[in-house]
Amino acid sequence: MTQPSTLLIDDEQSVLDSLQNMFHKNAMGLDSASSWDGGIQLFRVGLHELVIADYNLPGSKHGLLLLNEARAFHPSTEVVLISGWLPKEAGEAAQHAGLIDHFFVKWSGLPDLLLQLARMADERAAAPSDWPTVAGAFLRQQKVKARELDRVDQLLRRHVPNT
Amino acid sequence: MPAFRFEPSARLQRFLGRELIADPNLAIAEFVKNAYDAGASQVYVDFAVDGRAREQQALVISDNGVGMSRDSFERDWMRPGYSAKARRGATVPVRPGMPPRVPIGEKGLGRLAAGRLGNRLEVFTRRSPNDPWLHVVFDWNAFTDMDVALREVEIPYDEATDPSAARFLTGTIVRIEDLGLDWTGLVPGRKVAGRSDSRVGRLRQDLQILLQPLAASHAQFTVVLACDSAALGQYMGPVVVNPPEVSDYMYSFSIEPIAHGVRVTRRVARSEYIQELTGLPADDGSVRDIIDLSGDDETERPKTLRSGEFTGEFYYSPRISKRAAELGTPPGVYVYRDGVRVDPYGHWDDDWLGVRARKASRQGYAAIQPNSLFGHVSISKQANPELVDMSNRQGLVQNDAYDDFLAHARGEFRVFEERVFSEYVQPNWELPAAKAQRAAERAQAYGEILLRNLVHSLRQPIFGLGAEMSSLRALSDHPELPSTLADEIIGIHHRASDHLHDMEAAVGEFLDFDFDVAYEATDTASIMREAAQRAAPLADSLGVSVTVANGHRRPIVVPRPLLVRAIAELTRNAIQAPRPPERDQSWVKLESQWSLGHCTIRVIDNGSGIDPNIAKSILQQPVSTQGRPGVGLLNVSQVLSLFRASVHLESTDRSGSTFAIIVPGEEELRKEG
Repeated sequence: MTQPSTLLIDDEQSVLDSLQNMFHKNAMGLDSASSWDGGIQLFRVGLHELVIADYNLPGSKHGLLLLNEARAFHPSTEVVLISGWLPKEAGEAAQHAGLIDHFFVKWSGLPDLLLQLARMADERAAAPSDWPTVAGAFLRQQKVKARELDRVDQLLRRHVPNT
Repeated sequence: MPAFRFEPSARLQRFLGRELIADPNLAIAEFVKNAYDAGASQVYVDFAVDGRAREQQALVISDNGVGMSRDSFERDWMRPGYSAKARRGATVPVRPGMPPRVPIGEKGLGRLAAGRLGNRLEVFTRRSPNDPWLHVVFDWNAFTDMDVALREVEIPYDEATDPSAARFLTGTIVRIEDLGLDWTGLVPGRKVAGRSDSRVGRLRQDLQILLQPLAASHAQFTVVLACDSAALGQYMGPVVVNPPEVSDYMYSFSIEPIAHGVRVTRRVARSEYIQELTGLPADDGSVRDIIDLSGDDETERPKTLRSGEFTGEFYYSPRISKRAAELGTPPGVYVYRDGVRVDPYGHWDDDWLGVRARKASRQGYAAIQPNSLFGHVSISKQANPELVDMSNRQGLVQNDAYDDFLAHARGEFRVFEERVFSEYVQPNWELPAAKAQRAAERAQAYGEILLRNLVHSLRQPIFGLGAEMSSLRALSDHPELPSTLADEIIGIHHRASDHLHDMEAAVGEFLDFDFDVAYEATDTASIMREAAQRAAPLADSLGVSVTVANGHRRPIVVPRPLLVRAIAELTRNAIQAPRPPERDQSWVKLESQWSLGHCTIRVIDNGSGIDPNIAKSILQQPVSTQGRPGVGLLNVSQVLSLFRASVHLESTDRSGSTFAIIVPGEEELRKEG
């Protein structure tokens, strides 16, 4: 099997197992990690086209900061933030700030949606590099200001318990 | 001119001695006062009781006062009613270096109180170690015959008998035998808060308050209790006059007559505890108040002070519920004349200031609790000559002076009580309400957090379940799966998806619920239209028409989202109500009307009605009916109660059901506060 082009990071192992099973049943590959350290390590090796991360992961850095770290490493990666805690408006604020590509609240239909995004990521991975898109992504990442990142991160933290 | 002369019967002594003074402790106190007036620096009260029956027990009161000669004994002791101390300008013969004393006794009856204590009295007294002891024996049993004149009863004496084990070389020893009660025993009757159950213990308490605390004249006067029984050891030793050790409030006052009325000078001191609690200073300083004779002052206080000037101090500790138990001093406000207590003021069953009466009149909720109040009011022979003790030691003689004294003393207590109430009690009463409010807010906030946490926690397994449903559907597409099995899997997938969507809808409702919704002015017409719109998808799917009729433009002030939610839930319930097969059209109607300051919003359906057994409790508990689970109606009731609206099942029969929501209008809400 080829290197999966999708990486999922979520601390709930049962959810990871269900999604792994779903991707497998749909003949698709999925890399997964239950922590940020593990996820970043996998990403640096695999340079996935699509990274899906839960916002509320154990550790000091929340999903937003670490997704940004992934994109800083590989700007053309599509980053998707998912959460069971954040309200839609908070996640959309991060999206409008250009910090992530998509935000989704966890719901029952989300796995199918992620599957669709993963298929598109697989197609991108199989295709030759689209250099204009890649260049554009680099430029976009450069415009991300640290202050804006902090602001949105603080905004999101307020909605999450134990922060 | 011929004249009669009184010829007292011997029995008079019985009445004056045994029966005039009711409390044996008062009788002992009379001898202690006599010792004080004799210039003594020490008084011993000895109990010889160990291993003896009551008849063999003895009580010995010894002092190191000036003592008496035979002549002075005959002049003073043997003339009931005569008291050299009652003469104006009389002084107490104190030793060099001792502070001056104002004599206490004046009636010449105190010594007769020995009859209250026992039937036999021996007196030993002398002024100098070189003098023989004057030994006098009184047998009170000899005074019982009323046919015998008082002067005919012989009282033998000698100067040849020495007292056994005299504590002092000079002074007076009073030995009482054939005691009237057993001093080793307990005081009969019910327990009294702050009072010892033991006779000797209670005597000690009474002697502690006999003398005014911190009075200079008592600096060199000590009363010592002694006993030959170890069982009473805890009550023995010097009787220490305790000034108040702990008090949160100290209120002092002085009252004096002035030209046009009465001048009262007051001062309040507060402990650190009260200062921190109230933000008030430690000391208010002296504040003067004039009760003016000539003005229109409507105070209850008399504008005269016929008693003469007097002072007082009240000590109060609201934190101490059992002052006596903690400080060893009985509570009470005592009256002291020249430093010596005037009975019975301040006694546990004497409510002369009306402290307990005020508590009772307020059904127990008094600013000042009697058991935590201590103090004294000071009078003197010189300043208050009209305030005279009654012979039976049951208070001051009631006269105009006493009336003024009592009224002003009670008035000062009322002022003090009002101060404590406004500074300490009233703010504390508000605290519980504020605490309850905060507790309720915390409970609501905690409930919200708990609910949101729970709901958010549900999202994770819903997400996972969604992935499994997707896997199940993918499995159903497997080419090697038999078609029957595939169909079955698809069926399972559809049903499971429905359940999942229902669960998600419930989760979404809770997450959408805003507990803190503001009130806004709105109209029923728009509210009902919005609710109908929310229920429209369900209505469309089931072919039920929903109409909004009679919507009023009259504004109501409600948390709009909550009312819309409630009406929408009722509407969905009405849409899903089963209809009999013969019914051509299924409809739901929303209408509203105003009446008596309330707005009624009705949700009417043409279903087949609700089972009477279910109808009774459909809004109080989850009830499973055909269609949606009854928990929705319970939620409606609870949501409406948040803003004092209510819902009830107005009617139900085979032609349909009507639920009515009652929303109080703005004026009704104002009335309800």
